[in-house]
Amino acid sequence: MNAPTGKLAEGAQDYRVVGTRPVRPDGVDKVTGKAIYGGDFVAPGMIHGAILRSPHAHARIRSIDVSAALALPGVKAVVTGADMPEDKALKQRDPTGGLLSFARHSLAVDRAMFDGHAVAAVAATTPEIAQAALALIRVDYEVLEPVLTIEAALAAGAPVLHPEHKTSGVAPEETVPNVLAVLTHAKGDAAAGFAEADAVYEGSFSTAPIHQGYIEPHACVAQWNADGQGQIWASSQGHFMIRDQVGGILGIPLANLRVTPLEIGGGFGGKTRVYIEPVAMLLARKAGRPVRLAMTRAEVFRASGPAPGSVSKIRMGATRDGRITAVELDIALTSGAYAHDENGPALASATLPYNLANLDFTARAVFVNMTMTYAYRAPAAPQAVFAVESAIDELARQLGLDPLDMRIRNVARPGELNFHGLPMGQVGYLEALEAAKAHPHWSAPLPERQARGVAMGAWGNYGGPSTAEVSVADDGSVLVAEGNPDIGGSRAAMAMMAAETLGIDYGQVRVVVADTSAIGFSMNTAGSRTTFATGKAVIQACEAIIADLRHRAALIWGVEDAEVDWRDGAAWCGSGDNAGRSLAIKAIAKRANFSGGPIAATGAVNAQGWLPGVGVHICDVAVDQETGITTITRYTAVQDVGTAIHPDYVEGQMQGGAVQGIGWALNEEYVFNAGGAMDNPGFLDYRMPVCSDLPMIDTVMVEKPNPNHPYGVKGVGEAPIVPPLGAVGNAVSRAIGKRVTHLPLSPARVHAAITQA
Amino acid sequence: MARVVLPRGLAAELFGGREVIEIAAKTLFGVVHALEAEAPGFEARAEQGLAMAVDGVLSEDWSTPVGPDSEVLVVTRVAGG
Amino acid sequence: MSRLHVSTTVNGDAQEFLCDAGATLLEALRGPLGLTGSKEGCGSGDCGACTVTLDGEMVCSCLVLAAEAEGRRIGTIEGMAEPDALHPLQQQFLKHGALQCGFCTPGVLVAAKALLDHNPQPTETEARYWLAGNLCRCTGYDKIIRAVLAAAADLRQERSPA
Repeated sequence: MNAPTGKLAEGAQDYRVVGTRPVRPDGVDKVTGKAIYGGDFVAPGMIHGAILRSPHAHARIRSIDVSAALALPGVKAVVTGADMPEDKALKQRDPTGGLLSFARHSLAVDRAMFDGHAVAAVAATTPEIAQAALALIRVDYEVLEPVLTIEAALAAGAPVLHPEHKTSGVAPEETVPNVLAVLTHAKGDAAAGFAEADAVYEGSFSTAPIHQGYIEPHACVAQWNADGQGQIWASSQGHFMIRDQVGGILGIPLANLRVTPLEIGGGFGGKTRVYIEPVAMLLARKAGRPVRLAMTRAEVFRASGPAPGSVSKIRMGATRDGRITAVELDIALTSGAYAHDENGPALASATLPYNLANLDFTARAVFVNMTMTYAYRAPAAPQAVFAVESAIDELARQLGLDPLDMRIRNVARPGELNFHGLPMGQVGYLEALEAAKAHPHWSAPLPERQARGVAMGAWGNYGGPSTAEVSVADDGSVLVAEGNPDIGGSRAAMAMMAAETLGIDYGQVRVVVADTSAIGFSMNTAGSRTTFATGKAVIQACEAIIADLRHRAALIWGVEDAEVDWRDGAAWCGSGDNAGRSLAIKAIAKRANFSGGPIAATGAVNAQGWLPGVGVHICDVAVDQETGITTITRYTAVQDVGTAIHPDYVEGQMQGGAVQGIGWALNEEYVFNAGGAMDNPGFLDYRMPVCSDLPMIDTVMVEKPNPNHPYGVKGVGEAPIVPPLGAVGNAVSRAIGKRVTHLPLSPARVHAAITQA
Repeated sequence: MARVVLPRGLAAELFGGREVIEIAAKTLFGVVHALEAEAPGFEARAEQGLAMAVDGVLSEDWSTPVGPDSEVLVVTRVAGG
Repeated sequence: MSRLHVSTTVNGDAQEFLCDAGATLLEALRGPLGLTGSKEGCGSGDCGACTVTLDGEMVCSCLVLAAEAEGRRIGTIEGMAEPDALHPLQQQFLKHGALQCGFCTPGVLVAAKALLDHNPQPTETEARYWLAGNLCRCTGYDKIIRAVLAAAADLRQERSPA
């Protein structure tokens, strides 16, 4: 049962607005079909783009003949890699090579590096003509041997995908072919730790590449004017990111490129970089007309940024009482065809909520001929934590210990040193474990032939740069403009924090997401940062507004600012003839022009002081012995959420993240054929959880506020996807008496494990 | 002289294996500039994907003061999706 | 190739449009009819984001030819609310926080209304199986099901107030 008041608040305060559940400001548009998403936007005179994609996983492009396509009536532009800037220009604008990777991934130049790699694009007056034009483009490929798995890429003699690349994280002469980057982290003495262990578990785990699975495919409209100014309308997790990446790739001064955010139909990390936008702008420039460009579902699977697959080896030792004495972890992650490095988050997350003395970690990012991978919720943490939480479960069983007690034995507490040797702040790892232990699900008797698994997983979260502007209209209503696309309720959260700070009603505040020319920079809506960092910017602006309102009231009353208080949405006079009187925000705003001009303030922050989120998930399963099908019969997600600004949306993040993790554990995977093409680029065979697969997802929000945020916010979006792989895997292994170490635990795989001797 | 501690891999890749480097600097800006002088490309890396902690406190504000006995820890920056 | 002329009724209004023979109903709704509430999530009938009703039965409009709309009644998300009031399903979705990004929401609402038109008192299991053709990636479906069951209770109350 959902627990709407699942607060175990310690230090939680009584707020007027924060913690309530008002209806979100963008809600009516979304339930009536009025909201405009990427594919809904229409620009006058708009034409239609389409992309030609390589059918080969690895090929040299000898030549491209576009003449027949150009000659087709209705075709207004054709572009190829020749229209993109050269390597040198891109490296100059970004020496780390990031822009180069994005540019080449968006449109190939001399090599097709994955099945689905864009090699040409057209823009035409109708979508049908655009498709017909694609069919007229002649590409001469020299097919090369593809490298399709991490193992194949690391094997001796494998084709080298980027011969010029020097593996980062090692001395230049120690470059490893097909390895983008290596990261190691050692702490204490792992050998000594294993020597003192009473039990040691050793295992190999692997996970397939999977997709974020947002229901809205990428879509945008790009426009270019002859005076060198361009516009893009797109759905994304960050319109400033689109501006900066398209501007950086194509060499457009940023103020000349205006990106307007449309509503976004899911992102989960997959929409934190550009894919088709640079190509759309190239087409718009050549055609002199606005160009709509979108991906089909198959294109999304083949050519956007799925999550890395992983291959890991783990060794873990513990003493009889459950203290983990050493962890050795080696994890390799798919980078894909271009450079995407998740080594850092993999190692930082692997044992994040535990305080362990001896660690020996290595992570490697590996080039493979599939689309470049990119961030999914809590990048690389689910994969790394899957191995760790499985190992803990195995050791708990070996030692006859309660799995939650064993985790409590090793949990990290505030003040202890973290992974980098820095003291931790007010983390809530212990509280989350205790809340899980106290939950009725943990002690409920298991129905016959069902099994139970538990796992904990944390994510570090982030802060970063955001800008917000707050202004007060003549009638006292308040407008907030900020720069973060709203994926799951952030406009509501901003309005609530503004209302709380100003002491006014939620209904008096309206929030808009402003375009790149209308507000200062904001980093992406990603990384569990928005409520924290953009919230801080909004609060900072509101505090400046309050100071201004107090000042104006002081002028009106003829007293010093210091004698004016602000509470309950009004200024209160502390001295003189007007002592005890108040002026509501509306009364002051009415006379704004006569007390100094418009009432407006900006908050611009690089928010620091973020704290991790942590989830503990309990999962009951029934496994059909004849078919290998696993059914989730009961699921409880416990999480330290800091302060739940809007509990509905926090619960929603917990439930959504848990179900994505369940899909990752049970059914989702990229299936490649021998030629390197994805065999299942559609929702029928890329099997995400549907309604009938699941029970209700019970949630418990533990509130241990973050002292570094005015309302105690800790990011909540990513932590909930970290525990499910371990929780489901641990449940299934108890159900069948055997551990299947490769995800997904598809029916065929589970059935094979059941029937194997 | 402030003590700058680098991650092993970055040290091997850019600093010939030296993991601890003494730097005379008054702020993190000074530290970054000094490291850039030793290993061109460090500053771009720092901007894109590194984080620094001065005496146990992570800070992205490079005007953070660095004392003569300070320890500056350089780590991989982690932000999600 | 000459285009087809189609006359149909959408949300109670007479409408006409031109289309290619191979055009889908979804393309016709989102293009010439300007009704972008129904979404394309997959184009292959696997996600339900394009759900509309065709003569009262729910269909994936990406699997219906535009020409098939001739002489028939189409119901889309744009026709669900009254001019002055949201449908109880829409109200309950807002009240329960049953949407995050909102992209699947039009399809889910149309499908849920079709459910309640057929079965005014569905169990949780019946609701889950009816909506199994509507993918949602954000919510994990929990609040969606609660909202649908709550709206079902609202509608039963409306029809026969206790």
